[in-house]
Amino acid sequence: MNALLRLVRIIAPAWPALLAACLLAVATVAANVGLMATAAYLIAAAALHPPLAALAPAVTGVRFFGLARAVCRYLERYMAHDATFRLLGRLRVWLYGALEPLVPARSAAFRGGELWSRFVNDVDTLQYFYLHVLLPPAAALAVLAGMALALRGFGAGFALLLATGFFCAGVLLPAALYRLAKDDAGKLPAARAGLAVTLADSVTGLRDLLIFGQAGRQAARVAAADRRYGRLQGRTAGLAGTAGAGGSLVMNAVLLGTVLLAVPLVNNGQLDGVYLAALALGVQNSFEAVLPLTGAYRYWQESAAAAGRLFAVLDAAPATPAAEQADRAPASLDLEVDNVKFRYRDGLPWALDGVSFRLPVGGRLAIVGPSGAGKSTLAALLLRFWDYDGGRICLGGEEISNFRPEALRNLIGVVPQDSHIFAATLGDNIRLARPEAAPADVAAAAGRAALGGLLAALPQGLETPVGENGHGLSGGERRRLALARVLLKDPPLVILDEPLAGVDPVTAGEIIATLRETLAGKTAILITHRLIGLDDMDEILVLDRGRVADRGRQEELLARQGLFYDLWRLQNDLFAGERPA
Amino acid sequence: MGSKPLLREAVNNPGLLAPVVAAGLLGGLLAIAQAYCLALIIDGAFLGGQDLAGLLPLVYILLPVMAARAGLLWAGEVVGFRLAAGIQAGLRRQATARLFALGPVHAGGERAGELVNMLVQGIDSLEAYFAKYLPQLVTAAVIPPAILTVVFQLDPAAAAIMLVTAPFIPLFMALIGRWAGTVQRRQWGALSRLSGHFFDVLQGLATLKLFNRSREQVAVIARLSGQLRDTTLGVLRVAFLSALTLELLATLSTALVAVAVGLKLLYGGLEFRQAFFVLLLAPEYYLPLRLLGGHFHAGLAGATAAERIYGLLAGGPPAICSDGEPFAASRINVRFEGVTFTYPGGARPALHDVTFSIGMGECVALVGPSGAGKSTVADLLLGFIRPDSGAVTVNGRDLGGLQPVEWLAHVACVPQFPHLFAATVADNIGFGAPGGREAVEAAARAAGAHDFIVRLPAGYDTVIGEGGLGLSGGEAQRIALARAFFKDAPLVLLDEPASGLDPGNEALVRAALERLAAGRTVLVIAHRLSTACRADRIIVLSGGRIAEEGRHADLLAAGGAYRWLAAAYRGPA
Repeated sequence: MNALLRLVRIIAPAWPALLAACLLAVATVAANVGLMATAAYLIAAAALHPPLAALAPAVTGVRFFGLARAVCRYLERYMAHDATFRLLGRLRVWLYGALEPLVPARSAAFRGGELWSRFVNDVDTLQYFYLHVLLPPAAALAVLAGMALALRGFGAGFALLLATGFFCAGVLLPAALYRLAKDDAGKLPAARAGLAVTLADSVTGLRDLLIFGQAGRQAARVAAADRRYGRLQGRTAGLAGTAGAGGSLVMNAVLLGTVLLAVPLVNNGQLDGVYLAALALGVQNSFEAVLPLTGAYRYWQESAAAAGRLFAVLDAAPATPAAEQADRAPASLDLEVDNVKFRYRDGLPWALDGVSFRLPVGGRLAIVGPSGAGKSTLAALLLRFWDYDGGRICLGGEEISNFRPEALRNLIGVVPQDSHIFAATLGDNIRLARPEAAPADVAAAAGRAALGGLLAALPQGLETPVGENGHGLSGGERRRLALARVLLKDPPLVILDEPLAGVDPVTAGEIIATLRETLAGKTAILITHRLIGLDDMDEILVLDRGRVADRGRQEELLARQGLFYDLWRLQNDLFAGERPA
Repeated sequence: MGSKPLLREAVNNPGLLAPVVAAGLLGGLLAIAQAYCLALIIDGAFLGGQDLAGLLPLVYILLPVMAARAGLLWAGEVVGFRLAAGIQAGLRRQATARLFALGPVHAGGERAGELVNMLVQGIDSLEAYFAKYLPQLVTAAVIPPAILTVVFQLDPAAAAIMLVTAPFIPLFMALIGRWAGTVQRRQWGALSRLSGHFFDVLQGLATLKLFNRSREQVAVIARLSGQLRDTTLGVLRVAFLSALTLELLATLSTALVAVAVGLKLLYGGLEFRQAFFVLLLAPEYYLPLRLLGGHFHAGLAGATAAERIYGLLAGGPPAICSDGEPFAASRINVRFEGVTFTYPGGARPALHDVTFSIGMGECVALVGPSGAGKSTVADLLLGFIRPDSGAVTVNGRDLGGLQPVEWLAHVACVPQFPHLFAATVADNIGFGAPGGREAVEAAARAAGAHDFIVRLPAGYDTVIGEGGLGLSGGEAQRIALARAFFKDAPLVLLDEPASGLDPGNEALVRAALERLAAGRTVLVIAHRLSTACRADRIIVLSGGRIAEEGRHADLLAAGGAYRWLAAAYRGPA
């Protein structure tokens, strides 16, 4: 409820389009009422055998309303879609603006693409909030007001009867259905997800199911999940049927009531009988405005749930408080990390537990260790995606919390572990790093990142579009593209986060060679679990569960036969041609 | 518009289809009855001078008619859903059975995502077809002719207007539907592109932030939304115009009928009661036809989905059939004799004339670069694929002739990337088989998994897999090992993990593998030198052929493919 109110506030500025669509919806119903009432009047009047000329206005009216209804319907559809698109735009812009400060620190829940797509689906659900939840009641109220005005001449009883009918069909019935459907609201999506998971298990786990003789049992599981889903869907269908039946019952009851109310008036001459048929059909057809409300409870429920989920995410506070720091850069890039402690949430174990190191300008540091050791966390802290809980990180002798995150990110280039490739051209994907770069600079960056071979094989070169999230690019090509971005940006400090993950040994060797050449003269941090190309590092930091397990140059570490040696031995035990991920 | 296999599906379920037809038919007849009663009541009060008391008998007829119409509306929805649910469940049952018969080689791999999508969304989209479109099709086929018959007896001219205009509605619908379908697809294409772009930007938000480019995306999203609105509305205007034609046809015909009967009434050719009855029937006549137009897309989407579903149900011979000779053995030997196999659509054989054997209790390691044919050997041994030529024999009997389920009961398999099912840890190890918790725990202990399992939030009852607790690669590996211990089969197939293990995990997994191999016939796809050198014999595969075979020391000394494989990795370091 609260979430829906907030939603109304967000979409309020699109009101002109919304109002236009609403008015046209009212006009469509009005034209239908006009058509049927005039037609009924025409026939009733004709039954009294007046001269033909007396019927002319009614004949014109019938034709006019027939035409007007179709035209209004057309315009209404047009305006409703226009309004929907405007809302969509507003919602996305607003959501993006609200979400932007929360990434990546507060978006851990969105690690998987599936959750992002749920987020996008929720937005899509909300765009119909107006069409199905806000618009119909507004239109119904307006129609009711208009009808009451028109019925005033026949007697107050008619307007009262109609209002009662509208109240029953538009308020009581949906409210009752809402209560009945409430319990199932969460269960139906859960049952559907359960069925989907069981089916996905059947397909992706097919090999294991067959080997372990589980085909029959899994089929029974699918059937059970199907039954559970079907039962809940059946209840939903039953409620939808109740909505339709209830609406029809109320409409017909009001129709009959109107006639019964009118008959005595006709008998005693208070109402001219020629209007009786028109009155009945006018009242009946005005229900077109209220009938959509009977089923609106479902949209209400869905919108409220979607809005609730979105607001829950967006209400999280940013991990690095909005900066009030001056927009200035550190005096030098001498990096000093002193006894830094950090954890992602209270109660979780320390992701970094007292890590210290110094990296002078032009120095080279490698951070290695098993997965989960805290390697990438360190990079995130340097970029101020999070702020550390203890210790100090200083650049040029000053704590990095004194600088705006944007200022730090201007100085630090990152080749991230999971670099996102946008569905755009290769060139645009590189230009992202420096939009004002000349085409020649982009091409040069691509060349230095050793993308030349790939580009030569593509007829469109840098103008080649890449698919969704870099679909069609190999792991090595993705790394090179990310490297080209950093080369185009040309920052003094470079962080390479697992540049060799997911590439085969031959490509890994090529990438190492490229890095050696292109990063000459820069301060560099190499984060890796692949222990190759480390022989020219000034220092190697071996992290294990957030602590520094060992440190030194490669030959010292190998001689000491500690964790570094174990990792090294494990990797050199692999056959060639395998692809360690 | 009615997809043939879908209609057949409905006809094959007469128990479910009949109530749908009956509800539609009865509803239409009651609509006519209500119109007639109403015409009589209004005529009685207007021209007959009757008072309420005189009209009461008609009211008493009208009340149950109205109640019954409401009841039928409800019943129509429910029986429509029953029809849809019955057919959907049947199709899911058939499709999963088919999946299990096809086996993982023909139905897994890259097609997995598409298959899941088809089983969930594809079959879901049939609901609208059976629950909405089909009942409407029935109603549209029955009600208009019934009303036409009634109107014809009262006023042939009005009936003629109805008869002439009616065919235009389905005709226009078919024309517009075909063309609007293209337009609609384009519109949905544009919409999903925007959705896709939004999704793309959200996913890449962290990357954008790294380059301080995230803020300006707000403007990009706003601009794209605006562009989308303008272009889509331009296209939609045309689509709405088609709807306008339909609407015009229905409302103007009603207006025409009203004027026609009105004029006939004026000249005494008709009574008011009859004329009003016709007017009441006119909208009821056009309503089913217009509603059918509204469900047109459900019909179209259902037919498209049906094509894909029936494609799966029809194509290809089953790999895992239920017949074959019985098989039972406590120890197993294996022989590949001149085996050649080419994957469907493969340019060259994945295996070419491969001959080797594994003795009872022997441990053989299969090594070679990726694409050498190692997994093909495993799939052949499991019976998921059959050799194109040559034979795989176990204990001297042709594997192709054995009953697949009985054969698989003799094999335990530890894949490189084990699938964890959305179920408890205990169920993931024992699959609910007899033996109980003790047997599951014993298997987990043997696999070195017990210690981490008891530390999970609910121990052996922790739900893992999709939607459950995530396990690390090493932990998943040990769950798979526990499965193999639990199964206690005489032949073990191991696909060794090449990555994802840290030194601690590696030692645990290695020790467990050695315990598992003891006393069994083992084929291990080895990614590590240290595994290969522990095997009794090593087979080196290259490009689908056996390049070398022998013991570790001998192969190294021979200086062939094996030596190259063992040495090349250190190259770039």
